[in-house]
Amino acid sequence: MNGNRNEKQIYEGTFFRFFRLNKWSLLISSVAIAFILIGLLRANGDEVKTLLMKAINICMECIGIG
Amino acid sequence: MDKKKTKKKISHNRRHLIQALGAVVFNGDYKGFISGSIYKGNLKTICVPVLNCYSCPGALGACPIGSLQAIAGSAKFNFSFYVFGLIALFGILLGRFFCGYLCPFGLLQDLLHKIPTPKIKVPAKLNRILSFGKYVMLIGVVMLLPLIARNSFGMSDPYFCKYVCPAGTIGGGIPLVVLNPAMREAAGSLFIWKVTLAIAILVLSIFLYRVFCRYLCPLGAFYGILQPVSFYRFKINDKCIDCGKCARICKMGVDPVKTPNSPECIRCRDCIHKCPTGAIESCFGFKPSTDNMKEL
Repeated sequence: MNGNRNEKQIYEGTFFRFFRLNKWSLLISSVAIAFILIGLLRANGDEVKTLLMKAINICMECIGIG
Repeated sequence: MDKKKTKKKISHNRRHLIQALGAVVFNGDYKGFISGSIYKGNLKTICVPVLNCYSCPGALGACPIGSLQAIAGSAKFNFSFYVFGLIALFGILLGRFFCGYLCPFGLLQDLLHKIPTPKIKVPAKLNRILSFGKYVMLIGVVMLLPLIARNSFGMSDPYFCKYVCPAGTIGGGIPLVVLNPAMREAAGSLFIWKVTLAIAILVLSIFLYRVFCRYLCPLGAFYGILQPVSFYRFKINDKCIDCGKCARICKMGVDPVKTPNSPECIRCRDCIHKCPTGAIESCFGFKPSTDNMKEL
């Protein structure tokens, strides 16, 4: 019984410690994931289509020709 | 050779092996190198976490910096949430680990620096001033310039790719100009400028460690900004005896004891292998068990 409680305390301690130690990392990663989702959904996926259209054609500027 | 030196050499070789593997995987469409064309599949919607030009004949994914500029320079969008989010996610997970372990252009510079010549050690103050160059590239050239300098159709050029990026010249420009006769005929003064700049950077990197990564790379700057808060961290434990060996071995000019998560650190782990007491530790998300840790 006592052992179980200790295990639970350690588990909760670890869980909350992770959040406390990484609050900025978690906040920024959440914002990053939200940005990815917005980008995927924006204008019916046109943002990603624009990226694909740019990436599958040779970028003349990138290679120093255009 | 003593045990410590052998361990360091194994670590170096393993890192270069991972870097080479990264270069091979990111440029896995090998038939492009024969035909002089580029991969056109759906994988190109995904950005790779390193500077690897999407116009490289073998590139399977998109370059994040090229993509950021391409979308910001399009007529329809001013900013790419998708690409920005992806880069931020890469940065918050591992920081500049990608620079040290996966970047193909970083590998090229690492190998060139191995050529036995006298090396240049940049004074700390000058190094600090020059390292702002990469933030100017990121904020000024990659993010703001495409918004300001637009043509009458509301579009802009990818200025960093067009005038600076040596990875694009080495990975995309030179192979395509060599393999594709139409490209060869189209190459002009801009191509000469880009090749000259790329050669200058490569020659400099023989004498000065990772000159492009330190002073010019906008992706390194982005990851560097996130490095102090990224999940992957270095920590100094209470075994540190302040011998200064870690600061002397660091080729990026970082003192790991003062700033273990400096934006300049590329996570090569040389300091960890050099430390005589095992005072520098790396971890993901959690502090290691030892108390009295120094994080920032």
